[in-house]
Amino acid sequence: MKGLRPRLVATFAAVTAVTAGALAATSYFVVRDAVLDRAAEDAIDGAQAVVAEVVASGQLPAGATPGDVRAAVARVAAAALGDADVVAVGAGETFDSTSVSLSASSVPRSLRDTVGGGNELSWVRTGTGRGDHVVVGGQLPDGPQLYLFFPLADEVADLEVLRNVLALAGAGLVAVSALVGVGAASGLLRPLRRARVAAHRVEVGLLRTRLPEEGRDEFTDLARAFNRMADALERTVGDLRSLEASHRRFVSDVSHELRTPLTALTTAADVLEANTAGLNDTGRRAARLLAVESRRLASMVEDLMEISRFDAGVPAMAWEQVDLVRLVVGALEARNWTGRVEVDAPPGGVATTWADPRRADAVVANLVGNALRHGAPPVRVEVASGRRAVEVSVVDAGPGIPAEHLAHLFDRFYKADPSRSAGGGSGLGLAIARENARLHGGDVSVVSERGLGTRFTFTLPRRAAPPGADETPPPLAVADPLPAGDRAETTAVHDVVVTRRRRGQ
Amino acid sequence: MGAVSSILLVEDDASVREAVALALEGDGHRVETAVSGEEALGRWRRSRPDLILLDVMLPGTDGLEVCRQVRRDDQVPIIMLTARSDAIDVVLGLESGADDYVTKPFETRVLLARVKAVLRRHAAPQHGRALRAGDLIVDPGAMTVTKAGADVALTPTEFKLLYELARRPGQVFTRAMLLEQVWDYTYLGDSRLVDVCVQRLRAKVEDDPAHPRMIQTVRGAGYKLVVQP
Repeated sequence: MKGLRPRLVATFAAVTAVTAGALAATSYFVVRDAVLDRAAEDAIDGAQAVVAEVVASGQLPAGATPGDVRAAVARVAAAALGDADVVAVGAGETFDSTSVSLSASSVPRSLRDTVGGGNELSWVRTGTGRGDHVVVGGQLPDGPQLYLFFPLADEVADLEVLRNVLALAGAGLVAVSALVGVGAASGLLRPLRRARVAAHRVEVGLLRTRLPEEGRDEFTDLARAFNRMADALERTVGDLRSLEASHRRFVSDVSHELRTPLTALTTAADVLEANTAGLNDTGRRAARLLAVESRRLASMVEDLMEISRFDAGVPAMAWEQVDLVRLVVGALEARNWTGRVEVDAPPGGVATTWADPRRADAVVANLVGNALRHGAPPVRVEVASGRRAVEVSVVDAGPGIPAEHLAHLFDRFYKADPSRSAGGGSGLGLAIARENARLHGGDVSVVSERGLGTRFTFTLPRRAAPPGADETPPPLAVADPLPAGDRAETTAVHDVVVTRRRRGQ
Repeated sequence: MGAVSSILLVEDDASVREAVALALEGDGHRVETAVSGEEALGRWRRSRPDLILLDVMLPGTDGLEVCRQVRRDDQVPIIMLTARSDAIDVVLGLESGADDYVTKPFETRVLLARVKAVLRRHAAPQHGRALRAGDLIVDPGAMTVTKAGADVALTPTEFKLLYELARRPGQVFTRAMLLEQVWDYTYLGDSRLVDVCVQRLRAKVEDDPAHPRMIQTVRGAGYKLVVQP
């Protein structure tokens, strides 16, 4: 049987049933024996009185027949006889009886033998159930044998009532004990249920959950052990968190401290780059390198500060209504990429939603910048607009990204190709892009095929209004950013790209 | 512009100070430097520069306080040099009267472009006749504004903003439009520049700045100037 509760209830009921059954059976048989013994004694007393009265009356002639005996008994001893039947048995199995159903053969053989051997009255009980009798027999002087059948119907009926009452009481007891079992089980199981609830709360992160340590039973031990475990867990998690926080603070502090010398460095390098007239070729090349690298260093520090801002909490969003087509075009123009990137607008030419334009611009710029740096032309930006989402996909026809790198692409400082780090960014770009997309309730995803190219897709939920201050945007499914109904609108665009890539092979 | 502009550069870090001064001088400006807030205020009083480049984090009197004190009797353009673009620094700096800001570490060409844009606003007299908007008279030639006959002191940025709004009363200007027309941001300027400047403008020209009737916010769109009948 499954579960502690039904097991407990069954045990309670079984124990009660056995106990009550034994008790009932014992009392029944004791009472039954007592009742029947008294009935037998009464029968013998009655029979003695009958015999005595018949003998004393002198109405029994010598050589009396069984019929004489029956008649004499009926005449002389009606009161003592009660409702007993009379069977008189004479020599040669002749008999006379007060009942048609009784004959000489109705008298048990054993009683006949005992009576035949002496003068004393003997008795025996016959039958089972309603037909029970106490049969008392004796040898009359110089005459037939007299047998008196005293019925036991009343006693049997009483015993039947007693049996029923005992059975009912037993059944009642079993039912009550089962109920008590249910109650006891819930009482016993309550601490267990509390422990289960507490464990679940800890599981979902409510580390301050504790169990009450009341009483002094095994459950108190359990509660104490649980609480000690929760203490340890809370302590460990707290330590880890503060370690992480101080680590983040360190990153943030370091980036901040780097900012001032970097400002001096980049500005000086820019000035140097703008004033190379007096330098020879070597000096000019060095100045150029210095300017490029100091700018790269600055953007890495910028990225580090950005990521530590994400880690410090949810940054504020400046929501504006944005047409992503215009945003993409603007992002390309601002970086002088217009000639190197094609733009596909959706039908209608606009893809409007609410977004933080600076963050959206940062995502687009990162994806396009990556495609220009690591991919191969043609680089295309496709803007698609669906009912529930808008998408900006950046597609290149480069060598593709091996599958084993795809899963880690958005990890911080992950570089798919270590040898490429020389021309790369901070290694934080995609991590920041994804964080920025998620602040919008969207995401950045990637698919890539060896030899065909790579497609990064920046998905934003389509909004008719900025989200409320306390509303967290519902995240979109990453695998299928555009709902099925919106797919049709973009299929054509995808087809074009695939064919174009195949031709380029 | 023509004439050489004088710029007061306030920055406590010696290397940044020297590098930025080199860049500005390379672009044809005359540069004076100050290390602290107190020194900055002293130099400003003596030489009245055309532009102040002001670091927010300064020992002693900080950049915000310098900005507030200068604004009490001078509408000289001020560009803040701030630590991070999303910090409260930016809003505080703009509220205390700065016209624009640049985030460190900045690209030199960005800084020079900002300097150029704000100087252009300051120096070039607008052509065109004086405009009347309610009890305001906006004179682009003299770059003056009077409200019910009394002079209103506006910074060149505030003036340009008011002038653009007043040229087309009732038209809704998006923040992006204003950023382009007033601040010369062609792409992704910070809309807080507009919002804070509108606040400052309202404080100077509205009868009740808490319940503006002239420069109205159009929710989800931008701003418009409404002339009360």
